[in-house]
Amino acid sequence: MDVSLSTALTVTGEPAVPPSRSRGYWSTVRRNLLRDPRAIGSGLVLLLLVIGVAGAPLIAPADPYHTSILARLKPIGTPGHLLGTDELGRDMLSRLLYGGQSTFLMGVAPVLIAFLVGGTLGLVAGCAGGAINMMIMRAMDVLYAFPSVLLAVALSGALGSGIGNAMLALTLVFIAPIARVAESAATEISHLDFVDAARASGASAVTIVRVHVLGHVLGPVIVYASSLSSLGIVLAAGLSFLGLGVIPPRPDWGLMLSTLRQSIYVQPMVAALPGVLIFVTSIGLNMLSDALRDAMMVKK
Amino acid sequence: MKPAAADSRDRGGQAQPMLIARALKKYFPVRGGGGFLTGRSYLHAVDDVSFSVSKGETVGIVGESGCGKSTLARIVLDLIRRDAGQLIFDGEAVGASDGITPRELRKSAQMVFQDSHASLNPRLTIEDTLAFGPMVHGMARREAVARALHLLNLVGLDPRRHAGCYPHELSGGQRQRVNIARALSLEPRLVVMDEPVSALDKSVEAQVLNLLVDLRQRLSLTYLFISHDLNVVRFISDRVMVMYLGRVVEIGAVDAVFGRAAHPYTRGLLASRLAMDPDKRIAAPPLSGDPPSPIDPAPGCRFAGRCPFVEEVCRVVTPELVYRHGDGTDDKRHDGSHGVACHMADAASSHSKAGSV
Repeated sequence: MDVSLSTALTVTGEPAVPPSRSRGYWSTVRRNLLRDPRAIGSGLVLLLLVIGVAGAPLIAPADPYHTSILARLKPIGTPGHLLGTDELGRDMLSRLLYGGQSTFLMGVAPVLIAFLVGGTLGLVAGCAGGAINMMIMRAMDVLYAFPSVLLAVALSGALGSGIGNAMLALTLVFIAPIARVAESAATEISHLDFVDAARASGASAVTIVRVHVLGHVLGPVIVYASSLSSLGIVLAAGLSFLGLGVIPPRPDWGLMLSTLRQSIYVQPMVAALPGVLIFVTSIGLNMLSDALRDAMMVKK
Repeated sequence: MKPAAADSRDRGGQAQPMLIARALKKYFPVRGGGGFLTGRSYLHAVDDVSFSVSKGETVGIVGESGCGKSTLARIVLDLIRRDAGQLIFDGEAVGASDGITPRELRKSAQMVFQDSHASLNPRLTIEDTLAFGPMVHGMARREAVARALHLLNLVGLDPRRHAGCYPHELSGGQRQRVNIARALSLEPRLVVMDEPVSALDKSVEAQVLNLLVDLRQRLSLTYLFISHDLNVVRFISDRVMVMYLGRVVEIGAVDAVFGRAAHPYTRGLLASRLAMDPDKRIAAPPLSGDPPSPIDPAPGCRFAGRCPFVEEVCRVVTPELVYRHGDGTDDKRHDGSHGVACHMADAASSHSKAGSV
């Protein structure tokens, strides 16, 4: 029986059966996450924080800039000031809610931008290999040579204080490690046979990366970036603490920690509040990223 | 050799070989090789390999691990860029200005990989994997998926059960069938098989081999079949090419090579097959020692270090393929006759046993 392949492949009248479809990768990850108490717990805490911070103008009981000499350093639970007041008599609850805005922005936005930039650089380096890989990764190594905290401080010190410059400094700090994670994942994948098979089918490099490489690189990079965002929050607070980030009187957790430092013997509980929030946010992000990593370890 | 059915895509005519490889060469630079200012070392993966594959024919390539078989397979599909040499697909030079582009070649030549697990994207369903190639070449998704379901039928899988599966949900044999289906999805004329059954257990291996034989006939395919398993190659091939350290040591029809092996290496390979009869077991290994390093190999015959008949000439002069039939002119060198690269087979060499085999 001699049939040409095109005849054998010609679709005849037989109806194409809709095949039973197995669960996709990302829906498996979502299901695993929803079954993980760590993910649920840390997710709820973070959600609560984000709602509070984003909704500060609606929820905040007082004007965060309103000072009062008479109401300085009130303890937690003072009527009218649920979480007490700071050294200038400003309502702590309101300042904490508003202060989270700049901390979140400075901590998370640089990670997102670095995720896009560093991820793309790493993907290109890993897939292209050779001289291009060399150029990109050696440039990243230069950034990598400095400890991240030191680099962030040095960069924002050189650029001058202000939220924008602090964010730029943090972005530059995060690009190198994210690019490295993306590069190692992309290099590993692009040497597998299915990438060769895709090349053998005549697909362009862009198509191969989009269909066959991206999905495998995205997982580890997302996990890594989410763990970096907790570092981002801490670094952002640290820059403000050093006076390199947010400029007073604007509220910010790191800055509040810095100014309340002197009052730590008078009102230790109040002085510790911004630190507690930084700690809780950072732990929440870390736990969420751990849960995400475990959820992504699906049998391949 | 089975005559191929008339094919509308045939460009060069029935007599034009499907594939001619001329003096293919691939040297990989070795990291850390060579000293400062002394030049780099090169791993001679494929060194001056020439052969041809006729239409409808199956050519088997055998040899030990590391002899350059897989590199050769990837060079044929231009997945690894060759350093030198020519590929002529159905009369048209690949990559030449008046020939066809590597992309055009890949519509007509496809590959089946050894590792059925690594060669399927774990994130894509079988259906998506099979539809990828046709969609790359401009087919609509609906049509490509319909073709994928038919391909599954063709390789003996149930579209309803397997199309929506992920690779890890299939067995090794089923995955290899999917690999074969993918190679067929672009309606190739030449399929390069890189150890397609080596990773399968014996019963599945037989099923897949039978499938390959069946597909070859039904779809008039031409195979380049790489394996280290002599029995498998003998079963499926019309002609065999024996490689040793990047060079062809013997080439010819299956019966000639298996029945009248002339090269000491081929004879050693054949003798090292296990006998079915326990009384005929062999005590001494027919091939002892390891192949020498393919990095900057010494001149002369590559097999000289392990050959029982080695003489002075073997360490100095690299033996060329000598054909026992045919007149030895360049045009007729790859006409399917029996060629051997050994000084003992060359009457003109200064080996004491010259012309004896």
